[in-house]
Amino acid sequence: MFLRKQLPLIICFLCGIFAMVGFFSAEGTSLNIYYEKLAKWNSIIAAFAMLLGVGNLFRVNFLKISRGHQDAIFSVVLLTGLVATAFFGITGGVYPIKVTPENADKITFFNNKCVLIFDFMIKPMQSTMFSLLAFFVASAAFRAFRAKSFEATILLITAFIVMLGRVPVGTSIWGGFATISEWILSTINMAGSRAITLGAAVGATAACLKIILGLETRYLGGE
Amino acid sequence: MEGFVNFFKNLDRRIIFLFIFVAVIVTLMNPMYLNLSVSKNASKVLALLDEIQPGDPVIVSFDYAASGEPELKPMARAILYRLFQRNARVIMMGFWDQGPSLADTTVAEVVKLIETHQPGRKVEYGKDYINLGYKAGGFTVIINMSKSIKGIFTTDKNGKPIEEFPIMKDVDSLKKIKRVFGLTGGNNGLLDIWIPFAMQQYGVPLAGGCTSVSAPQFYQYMDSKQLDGLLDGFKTAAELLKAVEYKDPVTGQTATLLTPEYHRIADVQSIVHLIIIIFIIIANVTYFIEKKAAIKKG
Repeated sequence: MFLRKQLPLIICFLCGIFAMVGFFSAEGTSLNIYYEKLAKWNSIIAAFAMLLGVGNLFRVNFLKISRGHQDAIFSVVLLTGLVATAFFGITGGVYPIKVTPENADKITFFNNKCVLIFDFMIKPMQSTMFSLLAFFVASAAFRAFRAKSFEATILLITAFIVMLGRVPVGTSIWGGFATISEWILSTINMAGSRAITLGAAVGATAACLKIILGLETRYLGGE
Repeated sequence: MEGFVNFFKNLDRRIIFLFIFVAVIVTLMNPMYLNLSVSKNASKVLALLDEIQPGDPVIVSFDYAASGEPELKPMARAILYRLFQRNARVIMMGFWDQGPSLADTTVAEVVKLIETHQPGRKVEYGKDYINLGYKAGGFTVIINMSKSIKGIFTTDKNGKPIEEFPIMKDVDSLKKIKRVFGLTGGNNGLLDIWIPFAMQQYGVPLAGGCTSVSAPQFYQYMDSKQLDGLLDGFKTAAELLKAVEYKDPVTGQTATLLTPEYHRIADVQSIVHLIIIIFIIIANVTYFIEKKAAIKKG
């Protein structure tokens, strides 16, 4: 019980308080030096978290395959892609290598394969996913942007101006679109965005305090 | 009239998709090259680039993946080109695992370009630029960089000790960096790492670029001077490309980095926005006709 509950709570409390105090401590003080050390540990933990993530991905997808889930085929594709990319990456290096007279003899089947995976699979697939946004935004705008109320009308007019102000055609129609669009973004939008950011920050601070003080323990598992 | 209303009320979304698709293809094949005027944001970033003196160490952080490349690569090209023009020492890195790989391809193109535009000039890896690669850990990397860059990035992207590279001579901490240009495709970049830690905690001057969809959340940091300059999407990127000039070695005339390839993309953006606006107008006309008919019926 102590190892499962109290110890993690104690570690969390000490690290949380130490990180908070360390952030505001002057540079060169012993507190600040240990705060930087703590930051280094965090980098190491972050790297291990990736291993944990991969492990979890394997577990979840293996379960799906073994139980014959209707989406098992997607799990097979995911795991095959994961294993193949990791294999070529680990054995041949993960970065594209420019062939020069000096390194020509170092180019192998493996690192070339990795370049192929990155350039001809990952890049086009990710770009395609992002490009689809244009189609879905168009369809969603057609269905959602209706002047049904006063607020909706204001939103509609604002969207019109910003959409025209942020493309060359808008400026070609009327130069004022760009000026008004910039004003909307840097004044009205900024005020709203700042309010949201500050509100979210206060909320995040409260949530962090609850975790540090042990009032929120769901991260330990269970309810 | 009822037929018109019903048609648009139940419009199959695939028709909208088709319109967008055709518009993109037709515009790419027949570009109009609409005039691009350099906005305040693009001019500001250019002015910040021009403040860099020869030999100044500058970090360009590639915090994006392939999905953000169409918008962020033109920014990276313009920034890197101008930095090389000004003989800065360019240190590239990334908080996104794909970032440094994308940086490699972009910098290779820019180096080739600058060597073509400035015959006899040689831009060398390790002397004029370096790629430190990807580092996990987010803001904690910045905290460690504030103490020692060489301590957290012991090797470059290819695994060579960074001590071996002359570019890293006397660049021992983040405080030695003249400016950071953060190009960000989402979380883990400019907004949650560079602004609150590099700029706010260690006072490193910061400018950057982001995708259009994420631009609205950055304006507050411009107003508070935590971010000195921002390229907010492809349009501003294209404007910066237009603003970066060089002397063509063949014709001897002044030219810009805005190639027809990028100009064409700005046209596509324009047309797609126009089509969306037309559809919104149609949707609202339909809505009002329907509403009027409903009132008439009582």
